[in-house]
Amino acid sequence: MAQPITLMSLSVARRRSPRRLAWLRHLIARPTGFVGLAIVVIVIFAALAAPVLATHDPAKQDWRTRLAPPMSEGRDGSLHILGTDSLGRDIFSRLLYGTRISVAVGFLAVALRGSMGVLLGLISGYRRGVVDSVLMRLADVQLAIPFLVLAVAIMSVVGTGFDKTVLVLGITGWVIYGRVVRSDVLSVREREFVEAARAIGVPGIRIVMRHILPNVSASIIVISTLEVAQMIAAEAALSFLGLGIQPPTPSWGGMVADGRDLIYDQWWVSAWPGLAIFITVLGINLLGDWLRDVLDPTLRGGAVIRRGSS
Amino acid sequence: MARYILKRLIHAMLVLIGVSLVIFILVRLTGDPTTLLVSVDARPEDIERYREVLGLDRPWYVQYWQFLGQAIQGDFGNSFRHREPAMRLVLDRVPDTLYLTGAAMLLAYSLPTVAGLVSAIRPNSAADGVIRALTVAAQAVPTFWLGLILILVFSVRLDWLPPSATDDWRGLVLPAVTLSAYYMATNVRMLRSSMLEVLSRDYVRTARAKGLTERFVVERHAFKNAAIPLVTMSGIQFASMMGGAIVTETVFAYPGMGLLAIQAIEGRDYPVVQAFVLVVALTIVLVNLLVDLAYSWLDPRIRVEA
Repeated sequence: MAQPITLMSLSVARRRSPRRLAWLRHLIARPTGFVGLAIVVIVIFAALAAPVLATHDPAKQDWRTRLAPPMSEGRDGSLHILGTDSLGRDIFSRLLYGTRISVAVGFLAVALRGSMGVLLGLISGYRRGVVDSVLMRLADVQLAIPFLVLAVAIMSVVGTGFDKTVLVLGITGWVIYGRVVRSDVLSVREREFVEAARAIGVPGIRIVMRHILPNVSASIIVISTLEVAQMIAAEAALSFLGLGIQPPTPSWGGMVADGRDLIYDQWWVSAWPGLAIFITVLGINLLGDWLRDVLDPTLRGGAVIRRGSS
Repeated sequence: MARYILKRLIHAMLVLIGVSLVIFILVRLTGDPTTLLVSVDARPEDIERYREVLGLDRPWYVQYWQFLGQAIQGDFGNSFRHREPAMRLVLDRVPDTLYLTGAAMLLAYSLPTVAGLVSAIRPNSAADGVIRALTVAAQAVPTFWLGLILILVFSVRLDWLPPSATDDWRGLVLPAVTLSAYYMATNVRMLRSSMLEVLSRDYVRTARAKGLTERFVVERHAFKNAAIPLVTMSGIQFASMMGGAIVTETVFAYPGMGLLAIQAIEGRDYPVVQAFVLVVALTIVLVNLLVDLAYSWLDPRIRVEA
């Protein structure tokens, strides 16, 4: 029975403290958020510094040192920290270059789905009426086709590669933003300050940009963070299926696929890239969960906004 | 109630018409089918005649209408590769995919109920800590990689379970666990947070103040309300699993329609891919319709609002 009382006193204490320090208090109370942040920083650093950190040319093949186990030496005396793949390429270096693909696809795809979804959500929520019904029916149609099925079907006709992967991931995911933003807008637009703005003749577009958008930005930031993780996982899944990034460009999903039939003896070919995806997604998720608790307590629970997996 | 059912049925029909439009656009994106069907050295007037025969010279809405008529009859043309109706090929694989997603749904809704309750009843205990760590990990692990690791551990090293599909249940275990891992984690988290919220409500306090046993309060008062979000999400989770099944079936060489679709894509066998998209969407619309109806039966407020 102590539970509600402590929760209550906690929220009272929080209200008294200056808002600026709240996030710091949170970071101390939830070290997982800090771990997530650290992982994200390391991943972005690895992507940027890949050419410096790589020990080998990621594309260089050498059939004499193919499938060398981790920590084995190459012919020139260099160390293959994580071993080599079936074409004798250094897995560590390929992993580093793969980071660039994952990070780029993650951010670009989210930027695309985010801007599309936010725009449509704002329009839908602010205008309501016919536009709203049409957009929401469109959302229903899209939800009837699982994201991965739609992505696979589109990529089977438009083709594969980096640009098409970003495009397909980008256009298949506006619904989640659209719905959240729409419902936020529907509640914000009834508030007094919006009504006041409308009463003094502020044009609609300005009301949306200046008064409504800032009020829904917390949800957008939280969703976007978690979506970056989802997109990195989705790119990996598509590349694993042979539809996303094409060889010889190193991508984590493609690297796992390379080692698929070798799992019985040369486990390292698949294991490392899979681990890289796992840690990256984990880090972003932890950061996203923390952001959600700090920025937007109404989204707590998280299950609603994370639908698909891949 | 009858009005509500009618409304849901009309909605489902609208969604399916939308889906058919999406597939029609996909068909058109594959390019001019005549280039696939006539030989390279065909004369232009022959190609033109072929286009007329296929109706490709008519406006797009006429073509769509024609396409819709065929789609309703399940006619997507023959598979380029198997020379059999594409729809029949896909339908043959439906039971296998439903076994897999069914088993995964069962896992995603059984274990998480126990884990979520344990976690919520003793928040911040050691058990809660372990369960939460596991759910965070399970939500981050890539499906295809988890499948490979499970094969490595349980098939290669321990030799407990087969690495690919067999005729009995043993071949279903690893694929079902792989497919459901993410959803199990999501459901534990969802149940935990909604249980915690419900347990702090006034009516739970009242129930406790009446002197009811904690077990009774949790089972009768709290759990029933806390489980509502799980019921709501079940349709969406099922839909998402139909997508995830593509990856899982590929990893385990499981003979479902997802594997068929991936093989069809490799062979540019478009009719099969299109039939696959329609069958998946149809299944999802049907399941969502059932969930909606079951839901309105459980919670009368919904049908009044509608």
